[in-house]
Amino acid sequence: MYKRYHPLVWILTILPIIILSFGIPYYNRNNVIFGFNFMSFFLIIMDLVTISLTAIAYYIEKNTSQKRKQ
Amino acid sequence: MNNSLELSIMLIFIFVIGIIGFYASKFKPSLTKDITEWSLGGRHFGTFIVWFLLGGDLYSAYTLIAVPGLAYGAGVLAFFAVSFTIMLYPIMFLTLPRLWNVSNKYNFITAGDYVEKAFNSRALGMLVGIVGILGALPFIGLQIFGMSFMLSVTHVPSSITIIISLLLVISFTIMNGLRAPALTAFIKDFFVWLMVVFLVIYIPAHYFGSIAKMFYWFNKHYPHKSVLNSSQMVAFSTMAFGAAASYALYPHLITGAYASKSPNVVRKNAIVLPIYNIMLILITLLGFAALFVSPGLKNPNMAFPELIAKTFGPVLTSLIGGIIILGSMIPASIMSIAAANLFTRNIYKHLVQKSISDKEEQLISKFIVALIIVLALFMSFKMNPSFIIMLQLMGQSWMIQLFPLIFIPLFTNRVSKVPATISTLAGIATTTYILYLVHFKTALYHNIWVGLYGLFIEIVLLVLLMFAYKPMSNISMEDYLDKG
Repeated sequence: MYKRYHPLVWILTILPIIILSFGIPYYNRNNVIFGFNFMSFFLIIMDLVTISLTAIAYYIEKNTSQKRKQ
Repeated sequence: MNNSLELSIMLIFIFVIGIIGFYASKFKPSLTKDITEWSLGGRHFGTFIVWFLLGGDLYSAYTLIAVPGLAYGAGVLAFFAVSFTIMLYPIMFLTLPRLWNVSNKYNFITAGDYVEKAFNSRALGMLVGIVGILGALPFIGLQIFGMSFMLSVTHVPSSITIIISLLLVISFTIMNGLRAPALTAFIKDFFVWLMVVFLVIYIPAHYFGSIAKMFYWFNKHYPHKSVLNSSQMVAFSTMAFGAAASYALYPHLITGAYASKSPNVVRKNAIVLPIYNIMLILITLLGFAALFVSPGLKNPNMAFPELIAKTFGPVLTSLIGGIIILGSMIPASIMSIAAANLFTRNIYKHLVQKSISDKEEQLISKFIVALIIVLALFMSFKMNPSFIIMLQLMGQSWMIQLFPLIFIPLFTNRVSKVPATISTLAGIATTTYILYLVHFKTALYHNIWVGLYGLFIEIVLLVLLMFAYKPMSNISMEDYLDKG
């Protein structure tokens, strides 16, 4: 059993960091979308995506933790 | 309009927070009488309280002033602050629950305690203490700047108001420890959220008709500020990652995490804390509105206060000023507790008196809380703002050098004392040298955030040296796993 994290936990948590760090050429735009400029709109979406991915990572870690204890 | 009404509004805010801070000991009766009660609120805060506690110190008054200020001065580059806070929480999710587990088992109160035990090195524990205090002190100074920028557009005597509010912070923090900022953070965040939502709806509608129209205006009149150029993209990315990685190590964040009652509380907070980022995005937009309302300001940090003062009358400006003061008081309290814990446990105990009782430890920490806030106050009043900003820059770029020292041992016992010491000192020396090259005035060197140069050298050295030394055995990998 994993003494660190399940590989999916690593992937789900590191993914937003990679997208935000290396995706700038793609979200560095100033067109207005749904009332916001593209960059601010993208960051709102990324924030919600990060919340969702971290929540999934939480449930995976919870299951892994229970299996570790058994 | 005389200034007595404005002053009364501010004082009401300050004293309400003061009273709640003094009342904090009645909130959730303590389960313990040991040192963790004052330092960490007895280590039994749930998800809701920790959310306010951590949100209360990350999204502070200075954030509310500086982020719109950066948007005013540098345009969309200011969104790096949002990118950084989005990246922060996955890092927190991966690291802090494991740190909580080991700290709970060995009763650590600071990150320095953990490093000392993990590497069996008092010197490394002291290094964490020194860097942590150097990081926290200018942060408190910046909160005071945030207050004075806002108060400068009101008719309220700035120095007296700041001194009264900080005296109250010192008093309730000494009396009730971490419980005081935990309870007062509820009030602060309620008002901050209310203020931000109101401002973001009202200001764009009032001046432009809608947020979309504000962006069309911004794109048309400031095309170079509305997108990043190629060098700014590198700066944006490295500043965001560097700030996220270093902020996860700040003593006040670690103190907030340690105060949680379980590792799952820390994990749940890593999920829900990004909700605050929506507020940060909205507040950034006000910097663009300020370009329309008050163009040509020499000090971009005055963008938010000027926007408020020119849009609203003195009463509403004072109300918002009162909220900004609340936004400074709570972070000052948490940061001073975290810095005091580091001083007492990782510096004083090693240099002055090795064995002290919990009572003595608490007494020294309380004295240090007062000393740190008074020192920050003195620095803010008597020293040039650029000096505090330089200290903050140094503190943050040194802080990230602790990343391998605190976070790598959470996942492997391969890193031992000698490689950790050499690489950390090399990282700090490299970063200091880079800061010297930029005359301690900017966070960027060749468009890359300064702290990352030291971190790179540190990781290279660590990888080269770590296999030459025996693995550590002080802490078992089992100790990092959830129990119960």
